[in-house]
Amino acid sequence: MSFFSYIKVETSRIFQSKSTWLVMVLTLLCPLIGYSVHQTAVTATTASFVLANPVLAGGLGGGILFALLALYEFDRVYKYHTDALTESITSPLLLGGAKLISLLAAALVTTVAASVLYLPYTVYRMGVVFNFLEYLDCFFILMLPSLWLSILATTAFYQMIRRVDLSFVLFAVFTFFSLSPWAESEYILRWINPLVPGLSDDFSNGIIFRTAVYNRLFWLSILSGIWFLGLLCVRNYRKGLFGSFTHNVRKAYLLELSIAFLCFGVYLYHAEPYIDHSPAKIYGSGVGGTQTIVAMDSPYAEENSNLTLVSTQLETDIEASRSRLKSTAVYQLKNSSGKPQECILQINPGYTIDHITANGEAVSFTDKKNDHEHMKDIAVSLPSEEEIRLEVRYEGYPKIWSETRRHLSGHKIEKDYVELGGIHLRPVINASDEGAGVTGEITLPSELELISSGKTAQVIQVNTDGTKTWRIDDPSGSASLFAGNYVKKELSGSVAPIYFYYSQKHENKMEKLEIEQILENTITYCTNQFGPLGYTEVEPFSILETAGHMFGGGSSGNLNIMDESHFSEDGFINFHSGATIADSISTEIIQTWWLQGAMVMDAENSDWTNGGLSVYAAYRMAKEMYGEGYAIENHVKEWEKAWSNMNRNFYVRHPEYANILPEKYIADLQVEFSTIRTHAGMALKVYKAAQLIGEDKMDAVLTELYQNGGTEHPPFITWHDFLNACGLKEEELNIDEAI
Amino acid sequence: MMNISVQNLNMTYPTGKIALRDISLDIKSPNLIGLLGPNGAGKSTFMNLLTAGLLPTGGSILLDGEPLVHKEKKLKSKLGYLPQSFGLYDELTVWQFLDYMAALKGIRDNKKDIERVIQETNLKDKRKARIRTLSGGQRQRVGIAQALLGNPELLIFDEPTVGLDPEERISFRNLFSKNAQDKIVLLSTHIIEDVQSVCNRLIAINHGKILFDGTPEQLILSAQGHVGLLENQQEEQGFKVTARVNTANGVHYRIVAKQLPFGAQVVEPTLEDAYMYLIGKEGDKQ
Repeated sequence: MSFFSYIKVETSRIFQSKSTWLVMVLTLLCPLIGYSVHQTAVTATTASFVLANPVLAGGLGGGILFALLALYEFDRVYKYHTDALTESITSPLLLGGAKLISLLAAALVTTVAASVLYLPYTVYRMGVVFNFLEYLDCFFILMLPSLWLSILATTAFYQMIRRVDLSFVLFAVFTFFSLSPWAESEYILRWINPLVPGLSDDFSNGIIFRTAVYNRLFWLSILSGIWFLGLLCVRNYRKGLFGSFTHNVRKAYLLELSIAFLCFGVYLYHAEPYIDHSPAKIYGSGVGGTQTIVAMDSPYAEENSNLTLVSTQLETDIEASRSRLKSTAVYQLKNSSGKPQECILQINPGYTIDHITANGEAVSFTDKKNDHEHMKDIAVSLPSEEEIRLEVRYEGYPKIWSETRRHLSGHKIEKDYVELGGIHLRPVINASDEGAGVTGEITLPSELELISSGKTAQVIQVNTDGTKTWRIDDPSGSASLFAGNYVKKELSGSVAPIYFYYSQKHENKMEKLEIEQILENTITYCTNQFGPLGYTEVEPFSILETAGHMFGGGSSGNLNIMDESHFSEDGFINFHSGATIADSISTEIIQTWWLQGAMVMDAENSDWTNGGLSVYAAYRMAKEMYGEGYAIENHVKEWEKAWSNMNRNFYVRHPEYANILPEKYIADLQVEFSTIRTHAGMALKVYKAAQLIGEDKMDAVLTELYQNGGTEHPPFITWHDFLNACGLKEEELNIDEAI
Repeated sequence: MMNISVQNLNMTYPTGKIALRDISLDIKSPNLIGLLGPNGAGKSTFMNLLTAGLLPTGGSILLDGEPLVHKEKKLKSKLGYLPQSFGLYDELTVWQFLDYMAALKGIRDNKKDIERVIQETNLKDKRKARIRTLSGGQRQRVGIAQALLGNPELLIFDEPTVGLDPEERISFRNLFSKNAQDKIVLLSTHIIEDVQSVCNRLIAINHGKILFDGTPEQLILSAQGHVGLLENQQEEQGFKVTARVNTANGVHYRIVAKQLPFGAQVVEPTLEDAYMYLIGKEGDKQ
């Protein structure tokens, strides 16, 4: 009888067992835990909330349940002497293999059933952002392999030690390792709970799935190797462990398979392709431990001291479907040394340099492979000529830095989303420059809209292969690129146009919200209240939505970026953003006004930032546009609620207990409370001040501070500048009494 | 035709216990062999060796002239085995379990075969019953049924009639006898009745050694003159009481002895007497 027939027979038997059905049903229920208790992915997006967390909970719970089932199935033949019958018919090794595959099949069927069961709710909750392929990826890359790996691990342990209790203890230790702080940031080690910091609703989650697939491949390889080793330990002829091993090892192919799988696993571990493991530079220490400062650009390399960078020109082909690019960077350099010299280029370690020429001649170069601070050095031998045209051909993809590996965040190329800049886009020559800008031609899939810092990117060619070539020009030299399936809206209300880019998935929702009108009202309000932003028609201000993996927002040159949580009902945090997504985006724009146009900072009061002023300004604008009732209900009351909740928190009332919390939780709490203090808390103080001096006077105070800056430490606007401008004392703004 | 040749077979367990010592014999089909011996004599070890469940520590077993260790797959394809102690999958019905075992055996058209063994083992009423609901005797019948699946050339039953009622035992004896017409049936038991009427060859084992290998008649003949009846109980010296018989004249004692005591009336030995005599004789040597 063939092995496949054994599989068929054993699978059919397994599916007749009530234990199997019980485990399958319980596994189907496990994702429910992900909606509430087991929330490992940041729930700032709907996909994280209704897809990632349930699937991860399903993988964890199902993994444990299937481990128990596997132990039960493997042990019962010995416990109840069924082996006395079956082993007179066939080899226990063959039956072990068939039993394993039948359990894997049960896990597969369970996952298929789970994917069908949770589909309607997920589709209903996600609406337009639902992506069926990613839905399947979640179940079959994140959940299913967790069940398979659990089965492989427990049965491997059981075959070796033939004890249910010890096998389960080993499995528990192995599971604990995956969930422990040692594996927390290492995507490759987390076998039962793959690393999913959060799932994007609007853009590709390619990096999450690629790393998960690699993780699965690694563990399947390692555990298959251990499993075949376990198979060699299957007791035969009533011999003990060593006697059986000695006999079974005569089937040399089993040992060869075991070694091959283990070696492949070790190779995969060492050849891990996604993370750059270079360490960060430690610049200082802060409260609660050492603070690591993320250095994105290195200091000037000494070797480049006699060089001047005149310009950089890129010709880049972004192969989004392959998550990589091929590019040529051309640098105009001046060599003032009058002799040949070495020039250091720095680039993300995920790229390889193919060829370098200087003034048309090939020159030697060395990839130093000295990964440091998310980059590596390339040493190029430059000729002695003064004018040098250095052409560098390179390809690859940006690796994630080890410092951000916990979040798998950073620059990326995905099939529907691109985010590149600095050393992650091109080799950077850290030399003195004469205002050297970056220009370039970027080829992208035609469905992607390119947004570049500097001048607005323009399509210069529509290619026959389904791509478009864009021209970029960033005189500042930063050349930050974003691309995605964006809707582009031109907003009026300011001196120069402002562009707003958001995912096409939200087009209907945004139109219903009349977002254009709301944003234009915001821009008009800010322009009238504080004055226009300093952008021009050539280099306009752009607001764009980015992937949720960005965790927050920020700005890069004339680009203001907002992560997608601002566009998601599930990620929407209304204590500083008002009542709706539109309010949230308006607040971000107001915050941009304060970020770009004023410097709000106080060394003695870290809660004093542009955050609180922006939140207050959003309330004022809401009051102007929708009336006082709306503004108080949806802004002021939300701040009060957030502030009150924070003060009622157990760890705020008993900080002595916070010290016994794990560092991660302390950090999470600190971030949460800091946001509440800087936004809700400070907005409440400004609001109280406005009540004391009158709102019109407060408007005048803020306008004055915005336009002219502070006087205590110009140009910064300090907390005391604000108090002085209001004519108030700090104790008058005690908000705890007010609530 | 199947031919099993056992040559100088020895088996010593890792604990040091010697289970079999220098066993040699030939088994050819058709044959219905009764393997007799007290508990711990080495019967089950011998059967385990014959079914490749154990590897001998000395000697060899040849299957059709080739070492069994190299022909394990061939043996298993021709073997129907009922071990002394075995378990079934409780969650399955009788039919499902037999279907499972038939599939493991690689039997094509297994429905007919399952129907046949269900019929032969009188499990027709229980075919849809879950195994967990069966009595001990019914489970034993399922065990026998699975061994019969595929009409194997070699049938080995280790204590097959344990738990069966007298009627079932007779029925199974006949079944074994019928099966032995064209194959080898090896029946291990310590119940003499089971082998008396059906086996054409008996092998008696004790302390890992073959004490007797021949026909039942030869075994009975070997006890001629060593079985007697005593009218009154005497101090048990030099003989062994095999039965206490109540008669109209009082209690008679059936005894076996190398030399019958004075006053004992010599009677015709039964197979059980002969077996007791054989085992007793061996005991005296020890």
